[in-house]
Amino acid sequence: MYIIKSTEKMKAIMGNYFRSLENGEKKVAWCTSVGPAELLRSFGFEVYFPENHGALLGATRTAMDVIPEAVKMGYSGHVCSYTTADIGSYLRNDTPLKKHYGMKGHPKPDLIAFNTNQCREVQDWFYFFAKEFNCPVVGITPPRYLEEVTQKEVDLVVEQFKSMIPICEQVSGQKFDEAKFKETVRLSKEATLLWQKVLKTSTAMNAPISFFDGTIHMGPIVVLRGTQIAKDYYTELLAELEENVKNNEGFLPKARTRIFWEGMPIWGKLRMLSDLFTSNGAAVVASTYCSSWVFDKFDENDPWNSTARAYTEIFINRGEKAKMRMLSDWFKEYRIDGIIYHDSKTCFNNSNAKFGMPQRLKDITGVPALVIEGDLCDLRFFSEGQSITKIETFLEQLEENIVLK
Amino acid sequence: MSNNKQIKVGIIGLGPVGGILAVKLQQAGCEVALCIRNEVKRNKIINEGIILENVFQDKARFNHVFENVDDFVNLDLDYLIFAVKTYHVPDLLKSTSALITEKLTVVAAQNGIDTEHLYTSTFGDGKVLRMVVNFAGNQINPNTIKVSFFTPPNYLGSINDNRRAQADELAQILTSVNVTTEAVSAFDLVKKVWHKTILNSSLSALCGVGRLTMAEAMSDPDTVELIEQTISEAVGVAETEKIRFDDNFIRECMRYLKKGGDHFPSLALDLINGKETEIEFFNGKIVEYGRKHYVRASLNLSFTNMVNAMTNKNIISRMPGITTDISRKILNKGLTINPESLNQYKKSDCFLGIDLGSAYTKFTVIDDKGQALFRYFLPTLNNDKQAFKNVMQSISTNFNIVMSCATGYGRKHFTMSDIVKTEINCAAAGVSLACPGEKNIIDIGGEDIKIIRCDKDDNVQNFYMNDKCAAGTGAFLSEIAERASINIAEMSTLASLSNYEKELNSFCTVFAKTEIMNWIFDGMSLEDISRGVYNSIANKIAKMRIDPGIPTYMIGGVIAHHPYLKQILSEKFDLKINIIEAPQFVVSYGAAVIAAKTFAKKGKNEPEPAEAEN
Repeated sequence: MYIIKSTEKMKAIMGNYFRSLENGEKKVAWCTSVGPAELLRSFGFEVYFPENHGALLGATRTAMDVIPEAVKMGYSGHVCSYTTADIGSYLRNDTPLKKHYGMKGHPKPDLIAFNTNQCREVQDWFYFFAKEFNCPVVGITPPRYLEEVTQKEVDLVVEQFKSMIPICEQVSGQKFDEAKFKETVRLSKEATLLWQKVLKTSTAMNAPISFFDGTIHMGPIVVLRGTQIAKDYYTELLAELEENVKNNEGFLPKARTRIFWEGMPIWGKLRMLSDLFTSNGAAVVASTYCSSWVFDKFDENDPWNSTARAYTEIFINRGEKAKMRMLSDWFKEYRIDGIIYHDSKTCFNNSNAKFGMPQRLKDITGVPALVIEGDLCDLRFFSEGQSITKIETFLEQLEENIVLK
Repeated sequence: MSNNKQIKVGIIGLGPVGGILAVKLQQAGCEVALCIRNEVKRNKIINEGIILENVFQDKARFNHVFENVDDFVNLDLDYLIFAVKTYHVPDLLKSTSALITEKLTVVAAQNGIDTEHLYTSTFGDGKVLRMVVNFAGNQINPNTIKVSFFTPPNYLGSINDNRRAQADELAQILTSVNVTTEAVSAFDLVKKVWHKTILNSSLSALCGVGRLTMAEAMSDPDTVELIEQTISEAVGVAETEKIRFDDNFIRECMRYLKKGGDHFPSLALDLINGKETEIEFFNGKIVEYGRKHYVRASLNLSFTNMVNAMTNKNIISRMPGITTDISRKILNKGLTINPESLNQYKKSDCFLGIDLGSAYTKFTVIDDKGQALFRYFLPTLNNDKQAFKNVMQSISTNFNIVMSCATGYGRKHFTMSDIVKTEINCAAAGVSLACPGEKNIIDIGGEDIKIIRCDKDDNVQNFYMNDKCAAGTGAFLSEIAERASINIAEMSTLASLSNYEKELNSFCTVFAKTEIMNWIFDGMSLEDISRGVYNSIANKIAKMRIDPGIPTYMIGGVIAHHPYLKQILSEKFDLKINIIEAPQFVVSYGAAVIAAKTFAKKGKNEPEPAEAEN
């Protein structure tokens, strides 16, 4: 059976990371997953990412137990289930962080920072916790739905980044040090370029890392970018995967179709879906989600402009034409036979099937599309039987088309 | 009691009756030997003895516990008691001839008319006593019996009065340990037997067929009437045999039965547990004697035949020779071709499609040209695994199945097929063979609705299916019909008689039922309600994507039973809709078509050895 040996090391890295959040050696800043982590790290903050906790609640299938707590407070069951699960978990003081990492609960923040480049729910989510913990909150609200990112947009974001400096200085007790900022940007860039290469190993016909593996191995690039640890880990992982490619070893040697996954992971069904695709001879080789943490525009010699540009250029923040262009390029690069759109009930912003894009993209690229409905954390919105039938029908259909070519 | 120590009794059958007799006779000082075939039960009784509870509270241990009747031969028995069910007696008699001695007396301890006749051919009339048993119990565990009642006395009589002395002796022994038993003459015995059997027949079969305890049967006026009429019939038949009961007999019977407990009589328990019963010697004998004298005993006949039919249903799948009949019935029911041409399909290539849907499992067999030969269906969530095996057996016996394909929700759990495909691709294949080219397919099934678009090459180009709720499906229709008290088989006809355009607003089956209640309260007619339900389904489908420029076909179980729905959909979409022949089988037919194509494809890649030799 094919395994990625680096997984054990990754688990240790993640365990150490979570434990460091509570040891009190550093101040803690909360940050959205595609937020200004590099700037925060330059002030010496340990950075915590609440979405990572949301994903953990989804993966452990405990989200449905705690979401009702948030709903009772007035948060709709139809808004971001990371938000409702995380708030509900806090209100009930029940979190897998206790069982898995020995933590007491949510790590107490000294500062909270968000970036709405991914969605607007993050600001409501983070204001809740800022009030609970009585700590400052700062937000980046970049322009949204951009087809092109021009210098004008970049300037707007740079201005907001810089406005964070006084608050960071006050909370951290440290003066802003541009040299440290450049260093964290350099480390982030090197880690993220490695992550990009990791993902691209699956352009090989016998792909060594699937989307489902990617949702696990992306942990360090989310929570530890800007550190030497992340860079070291992805150096090791990349070496392993490149060795597998050279040896023609992959997670599905006799794949009959190659699939692109668009949208959020269904965290509580990763294993089921992975087995489903494997048993139907389909290799899920790429995704928009795992590509979210590729910031190849980072430049330590121009840290303000480059980070502002990178965080604004991400897929989720773009307009449809830009998204279609990015997807088309990925289809060619990864030799995609079909794309599956996960239309997530509570993640409107990262669901791209609602306004007709699947049909338009298929007309342009010829790549067939399937839309399935589900949710990132709340499995009550996922019909397993119907979804399995849809996916299997789609895969059978793709195989038939390939035979005809 | 010193004389009793010399009396040796063998007992065959350790159910409640045998167990009670064993303990009581041992208690009375007899030397009791037991024959128990079941190993677990035998070992438990050897180690712990037999325990009686409730009405009798005694226990006894035994020195002679055997597996086979033959083992009694060295004991030189005075009495051999058969306490088994009547249907076990013939087999047991084959091994008891070695036990016959001049002094041996055989006791038939079963109720029912003429049970003693089972013994007389082996032992002769002179050696047989007949016992009318008036106690019973329940086996709590292998060696513990809860005695449920004893209504003294029991009766004991010699068939032709030759063993009158032995009847007296055994009756005294039992009476001495509180099992009051009265010895009677041969003629009085017959009357006692009929009395007891009439009581048993009046109620036991009814309890078994109706799943009622004795107390339940005697507390419902409807069943009380049946019981009284059944007794009345039997009294009439007895009279033809010169057995007369006094004028208060029926009233006394009803009074006696009213004291019956809240438990199942023995025959009812056997029926409920899927075992053979003694109906032949109860109601069956009353019917038999009635025929002898040209007297009708319709109620007793009904109970006899009903119990036999239910017994046969339970037993039939376990009797080897009977499977041919089942296979024949299934074949006759499912065959779609002339039976005379069936032989050719035992040799030529045939293909099987199985659609394990959410409501029904459908089977279709086709020949290599795509002609349907056989169609059959079963409820999917059927606990009767044997029914499924019977269908598969019938198919494999009569057709040369070279490849099979499974589809539907249960497809991955079905391991007997060669290939597995989703029902959407099977639906496309099934419709496409008869209707090639671009098309829409609307499949309304038990739990979901699918819209499929095929391209000019019959490939699935696009498809849609509901995954939020069951509104508009077969499950929806069943729920709504039940709520509105509409016979679902009539819904289509009713809707065609209405011109009303009322529609349900809710997509959700549960909320839709609430809306239906409001329609009913408003006094809406069944015709309008039926059409309203169909309108709602049409609206549901209208929200899905259907290309109006190409032909549209409907399949699935729902359209098979609700053909008027097609008319409504045609009106709403302003397009012609066709219903495929046998729409509920199209998916299993398509699975068979895919099996045939796959087989043909493999045939090109893997030539047979014979062909290679050529």
